[in-house]
Amino acid sequence: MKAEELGNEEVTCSDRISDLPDDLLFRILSLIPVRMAMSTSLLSKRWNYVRKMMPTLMYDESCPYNGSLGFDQFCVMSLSLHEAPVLKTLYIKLTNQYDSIDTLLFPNIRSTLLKIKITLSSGYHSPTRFPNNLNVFKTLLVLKLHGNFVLSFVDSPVCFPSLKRLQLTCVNFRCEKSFKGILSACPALEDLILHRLCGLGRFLFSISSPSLQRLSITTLGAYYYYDATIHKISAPSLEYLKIFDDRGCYNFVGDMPKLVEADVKVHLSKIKKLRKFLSSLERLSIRLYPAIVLILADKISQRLLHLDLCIYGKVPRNVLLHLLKHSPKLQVLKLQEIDHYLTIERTTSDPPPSVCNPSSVPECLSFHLRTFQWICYGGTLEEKEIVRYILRNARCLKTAAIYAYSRDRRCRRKERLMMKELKSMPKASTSCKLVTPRHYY
Amino acid sequence: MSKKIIFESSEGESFEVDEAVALECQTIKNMIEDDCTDGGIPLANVNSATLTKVIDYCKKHVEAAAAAEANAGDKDIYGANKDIELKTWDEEFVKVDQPLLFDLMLAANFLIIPGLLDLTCKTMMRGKTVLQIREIFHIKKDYTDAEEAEVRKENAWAFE
Repeated sequence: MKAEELGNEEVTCSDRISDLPDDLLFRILSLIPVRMAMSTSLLSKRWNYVRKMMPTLMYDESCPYNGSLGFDQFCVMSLSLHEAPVLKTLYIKLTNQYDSIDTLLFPNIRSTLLKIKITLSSGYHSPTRFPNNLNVFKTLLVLKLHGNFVLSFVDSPVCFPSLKRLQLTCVNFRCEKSFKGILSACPALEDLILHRLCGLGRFLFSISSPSLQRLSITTLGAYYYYDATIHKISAPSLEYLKIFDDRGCYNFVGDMPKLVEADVKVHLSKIKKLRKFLSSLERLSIRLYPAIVLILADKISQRLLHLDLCIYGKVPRNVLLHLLKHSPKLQVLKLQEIDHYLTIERTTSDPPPSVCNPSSVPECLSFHLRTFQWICYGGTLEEKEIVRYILRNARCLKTAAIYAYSRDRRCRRKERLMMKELKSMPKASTSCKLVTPRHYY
Repeated sequence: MSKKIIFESSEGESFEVDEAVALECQTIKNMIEDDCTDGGIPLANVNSATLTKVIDYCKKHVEAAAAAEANAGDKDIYGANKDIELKTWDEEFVKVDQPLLFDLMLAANFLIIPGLLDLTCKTMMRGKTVLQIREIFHIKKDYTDAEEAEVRKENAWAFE
């Protein structure tokens, strides 16, 4: 044993780690606490070089190893001495309070900064103001602000001329002008992700951006507070829209001819100028009440290819066919009927839809529909008729996936019968594969 | 039966694994896509001991991903527990001696297994002082006294 160790001495004693390529050493250093990474400078010239050239820096104040290293020291001592020409990512996570994060942090960055994420995790922070327009902002591509930020952006001289992606999570904007201010400071913005807090009372989010391509607005928490948020959106280049928001109103100003994909969980009654939003869609994922399906059908884009429809309650056959009639190019139809605590009340108070079955087979069934999926298929007479109709008329159908759902888990026998019935239905497409997976839930 | 891939370690030992396991390595995935895995894949810079561990890691993570997929419908506390279980497994997995850890890191880098690469890189220096690092990795100081004083001054707070 001893002899073997001695024999290997030459091998084990060589400094293998310092010979590793820069990229690997960067990775090793970026995965340990920043103070630890800094201290490796003392090892040798090689390590001092690697440490100063790290393309990613992370300062996490909650990390116990940082000891007495304060954020101010980090900014003044290590950021200002960092020599990497390009700093790809700077991630700052603060738990303590600082008076002016922006003036402490940004003037000390000498590298070309591409991406920054700042998270404030607790306590009250005084407003972040961006009082100076610094060189570092010129190159910034991604800015993510997360947490207890109080942004005061009124009359700020700052401009982020290259910024493509802005993510604001739970940020407090103080006033409507402040939110407008940060957006107008980003003339090249393509992606906006706004994860807003509920319960703001009356607040206008004015989103006006000629360059914006992707917009995502989601809400978080505090549902019991008064929330009368209005989103006024003017984004002529928008291609993708996601809204998960039960409370706010949405007002689309101007056309969005490039909007091809939308994923929305919102009351359609709270969208003004619905037609502008629906007119060019190719992919739509939406949740709504059965009564709204007719409105949707009348306004939906003729170019729709993919529809993911989640309905609170049951959709009557004639209404669904009406919708198909208005989506002549549809290739993929996914249906899901979900229970909702309001469903019973809603369905009984809704007037029965007065729409006739189409006189001819909808065009999408004859020529385009490839995929049909139904989640929570209950096997009622109405539902059976819908499936029968689609299978009998969809000539290009490749897959029909019906996920059965019976409220009572003991109803296996009923479920089996349901499946047997589905399988015996005549199909217009000979190559159609019918899959009936059980227990989706 | 699933397709098998054969790895050959630097000692010439053969290891047969399921294709799904091999696909965890981006490098191998590319080779499989290019259809050049027939007759085994020689890994001249990965020894048998390291390769055994790498395969263990890939197997575990394929199984974990499959289990997560099967339970995708009900994302609940059990799903979260599985995550913790896998993390704990990872922690145990890297409790190996320094040379093996180093070889694992190199193998993960060569085979491109991001999860394993981060795991080994993270463990490499964790919880060690500069002195310990110098000792463990045999890093020679090449500073003059004056240079060292300069570096110390620049990073004063890091050495408190």
